Amino acid sequence: MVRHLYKAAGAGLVLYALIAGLMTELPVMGPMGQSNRNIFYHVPMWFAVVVMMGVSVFNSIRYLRMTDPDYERSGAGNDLALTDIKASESAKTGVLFNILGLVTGMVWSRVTWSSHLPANRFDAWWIWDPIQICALVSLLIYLAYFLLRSTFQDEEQKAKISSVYNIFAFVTLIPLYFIIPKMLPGAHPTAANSDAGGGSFVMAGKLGGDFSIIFWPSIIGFILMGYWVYELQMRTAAVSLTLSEEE
Amino acid sequence: MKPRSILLLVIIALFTVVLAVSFSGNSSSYTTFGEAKKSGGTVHIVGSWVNRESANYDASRDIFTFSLQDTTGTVSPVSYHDPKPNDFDKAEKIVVIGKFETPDVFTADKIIMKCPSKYGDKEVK
Repeated sequence: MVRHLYKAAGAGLVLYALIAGLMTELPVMGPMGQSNRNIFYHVPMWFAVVVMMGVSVFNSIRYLRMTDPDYERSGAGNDLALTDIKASESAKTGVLFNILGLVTGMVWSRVTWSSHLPANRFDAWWIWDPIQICALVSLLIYLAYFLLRSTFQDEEQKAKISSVYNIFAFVTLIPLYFIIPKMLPGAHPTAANSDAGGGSFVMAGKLGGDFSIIFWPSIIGFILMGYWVYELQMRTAAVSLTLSEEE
Repeated sequence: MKPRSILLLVIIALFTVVLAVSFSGNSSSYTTFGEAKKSGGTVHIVGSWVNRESANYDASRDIFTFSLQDTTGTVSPVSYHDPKPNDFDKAEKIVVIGKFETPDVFTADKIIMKCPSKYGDKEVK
């Protein structure tokens, strides 16, 4: 019972963020109009990405430790396969949130940065802002992870090599998400030349009470929902592995 | 490894490199009017709209002209080959992308409205 509580909490918080985020009266900010509410949905996506990729790299490191002959383990074979499934399925969930983050961002950019352009122009949706490019690069790095996995026939070799790759992939997120946005100017409010003074992943101190009372619950909600999605995917993959072994 | 997978990996790697290159190209180009005049290349300039009453739209040539003050305080006329963008009055900061085609007037190919970064309480209107 207790281990299912987080699902209820996640669903409840996301529901709250949807209802309160769309219904509450909020200050209108310049050209953004009512679209400033997207902060409750666009930003949590990236928090969920970081958490899911964190779960993924944790399991990849755990996998590599398990293959160490000195590492004492119980039920080795099955456990190894499950750890690999955990690493890949959480990365899959992270990629899902990465795509959702890009899409919510593109919609937002269309109605704010580029609301004066007709919708059929590419730059109405994508302006090659440094933070946009960082997000796209991180997506490609993780797509390459799945491509790498798809090239191996041997399960053990696949798990081992992709675990090593996953560590490198996670390390690239640090400059892409936390360092480059702090250094380069751009259109995002978190860019180095913004009025926020630049460079915080979380816009600390720039979020008034009206916003933060919905913003933070939304972030926790989407992270918990993301974990739920991951758990379902992981269990499905584990079941299909067991079934294929029985055949 | 299957040849198709290797090909896909190479494509992703190449795409990432292209992105990285376009990145350094794009990011370094945020500058000021003074620098833009010297370099003559295409740049991004962040500024705020000043002398609002002098801005005008010439319908016969489809050119909107306005004054922009960059972060160093330099004011320069900017011409944009389109009518005045909607929400232009409300934008806190404006990014113009273009270059000095004539020595005195900056020609903007693109305009981006930069949004306020303070998600404040009620007093922000």
